[in-house]
Amino acid sequence: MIRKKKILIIDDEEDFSHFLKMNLENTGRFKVFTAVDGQAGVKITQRKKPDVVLLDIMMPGMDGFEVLEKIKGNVKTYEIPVIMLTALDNKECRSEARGSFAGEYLVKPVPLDRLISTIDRVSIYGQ
Amino acid sequence: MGKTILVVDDNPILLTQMTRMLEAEGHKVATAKDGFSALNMLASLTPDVVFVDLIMPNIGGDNLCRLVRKMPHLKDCFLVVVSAAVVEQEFDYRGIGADACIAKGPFDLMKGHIREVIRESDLGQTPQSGRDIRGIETVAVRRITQELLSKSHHLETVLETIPEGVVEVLEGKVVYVNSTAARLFQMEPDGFLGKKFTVLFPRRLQREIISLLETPPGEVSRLGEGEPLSLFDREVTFQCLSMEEVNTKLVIITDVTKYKTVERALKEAMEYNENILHTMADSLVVLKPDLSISYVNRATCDMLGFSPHELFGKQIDQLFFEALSFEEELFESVIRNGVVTEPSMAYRSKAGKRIPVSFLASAMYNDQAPKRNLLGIICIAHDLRKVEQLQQQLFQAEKIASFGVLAAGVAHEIKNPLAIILQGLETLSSGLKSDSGRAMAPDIIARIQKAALRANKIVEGLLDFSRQSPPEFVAADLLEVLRESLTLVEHHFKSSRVTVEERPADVSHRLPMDVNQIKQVFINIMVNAAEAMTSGGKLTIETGDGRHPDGKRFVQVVFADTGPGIAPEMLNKIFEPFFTTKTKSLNTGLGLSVSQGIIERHRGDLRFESESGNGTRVILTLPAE
Repeated sequence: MIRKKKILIIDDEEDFSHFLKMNLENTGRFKVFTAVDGQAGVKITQRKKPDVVLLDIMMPGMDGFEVLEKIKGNVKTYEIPVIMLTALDNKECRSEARGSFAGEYLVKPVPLDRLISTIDRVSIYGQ
Repeated sequence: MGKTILVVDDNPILLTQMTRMLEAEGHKVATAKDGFSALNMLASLTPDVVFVDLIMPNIGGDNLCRLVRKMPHLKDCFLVVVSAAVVEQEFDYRGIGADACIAKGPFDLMKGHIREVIRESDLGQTPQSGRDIRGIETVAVRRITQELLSKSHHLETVLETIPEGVVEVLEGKVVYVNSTAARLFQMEPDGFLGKKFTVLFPRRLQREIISLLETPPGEVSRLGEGEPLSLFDREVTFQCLSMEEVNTKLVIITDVTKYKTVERALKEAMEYNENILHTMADSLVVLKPDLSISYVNRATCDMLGFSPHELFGKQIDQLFFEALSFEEELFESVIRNGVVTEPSMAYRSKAGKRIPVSFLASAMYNDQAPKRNLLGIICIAHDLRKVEQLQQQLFQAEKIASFGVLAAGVAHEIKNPLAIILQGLETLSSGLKSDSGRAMAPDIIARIQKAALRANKIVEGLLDFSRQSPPEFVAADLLEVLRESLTLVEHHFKSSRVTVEERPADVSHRLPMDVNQIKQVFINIMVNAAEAMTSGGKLTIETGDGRHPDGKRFVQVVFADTGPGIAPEMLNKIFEPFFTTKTKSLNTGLGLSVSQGIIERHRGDLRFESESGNGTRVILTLPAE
């Protein structure tokens, strides 16, 4: 049996994480953890070593980019692919995202199948 | 051989004596009683000899002689001056063109001289070879005559010296003219005598001069008083005195040119000043010391729709849109300090419309020294409607610009609820396929609803934000506004078990503000405080005043709560639109950014002081003037 991929959702919108977790887990292919703020998110990344991190940018306290720095700056976690999943869409954010890790950047609301295909892509092929 | 002789003398006895004598010797004699009549006669008579009395009315003998010498047809005429005054007065008969001179004395003694001169006229003797005054040795000096002559001379000197022109007119013709009059007519005095007065004037004035000369005896008439007549290059007025005792008229001509020039210059200056006041774009109202209106310029009438007489005498406060509570102080301050400005005032138009103005009053004194006589108060009002219009436009532009900034925040704020709704619907649709899924449906639906309502609240908050308008300033009491806001949010405090303590300072809280907008700010601050103190607490509201380093007065309100406070890293984010630490269901996060905007537009300041766990102090400062 194929191992379920471990997904960590770091987002302060609890209802969003709740639904996304259910939708991903309903496919049978994913095991989802959630963190409601950046600090918790970094800790869980270090402990659980997810296969993919879904990261919101606009959060109170530590924002998404700071979390990204922490993950990428730590030898234990820097290989983990991060998908910026945020409602904020503008050129600056995109280029900053690309600049910092040449990773993926998706704008909410994103259709579930698109999200899943992106998760698959970054987890198989890396970044 | 018999000659034609003219005798001119005002003494009728002498006239008779000489006529009788000369006719007896075979001469033809004509007589005239004064120079005037003599001239009339000489128009058609060519006498061989003329006897002329020196002192006569209506053109005296000396003038007559001069005139005769000017007449071509009389060039061969033998002129003899006969005078009673030759002894008492220095007299050069040759100087006036006479050929001989006989002193008046007893007639018998004169006869001889008379015959003598008639004989000499025949011989065509020139005046230079003539002898001295004949008969002078027989006449004694008479003191009375001396005095009369002296007086007459004196009077003549006076007439010659006065700056008024004097012309004596008999039967419409000039019998006397002084040098001033001669100058005014630009002629030699001799040129006038015996001429018709009206002929001296240009045609356009003749009718008026004729009626001037028709002044009834004993009366005075005037011509040109209001509108002087122009005579050559001067402007003159006329007075005609018609005397009862004599039948001559005295015409006095006054040169008013200089006076008229000054008058005109003054009028021009006045008109220029009037023009300035008329052209001024700002309203100018001049008040008497009792604050009643004594003058309004055209701009005032245009601005308010009144006509000047509708405003004269009214008290200035009838122009104010609202009764100023500080009106007395305002005008006392004007009188004390000289000038007072009230940047946000409003006038009331005739139709009752509110006209916002920037008001400036200054006290007007005489002698330019303070504490002298207060003449009045000058009030200038600059119409701010245009300014307000521009401010509105600028404000709109700023709002539109800030919307760009806001749009990103809005997009984010609405996209999140939308993302929840869409993800939730996914969950719901797949969940409905199974029993366990169906059991979860109510929960899923509830969360979706919450998100939808939240999105709606965001939109409403945005609309509120978009409804912001530039402040409409009126003078109001901050404490009263604060208390009114308190009553509006009382229920928030009661439900959170929060007590409110007021500590108002004993200062004037009056300042210019937009009352509704300031209320909005107060409500925002107080609701935040109430919501922060979820488990009860106390809100203390203190007021005070002070002066900025630049001397400008301000009023301050401090709201201190006993809530959890704000963490330092949050403090600079709290004004950001959509920033909120409260549960996202109720709050849009726009309140403080709107409040900040309002306070900024009041040129005030809104600051937060807080430590985690130690409550929060909100310090609101507004300029008092």
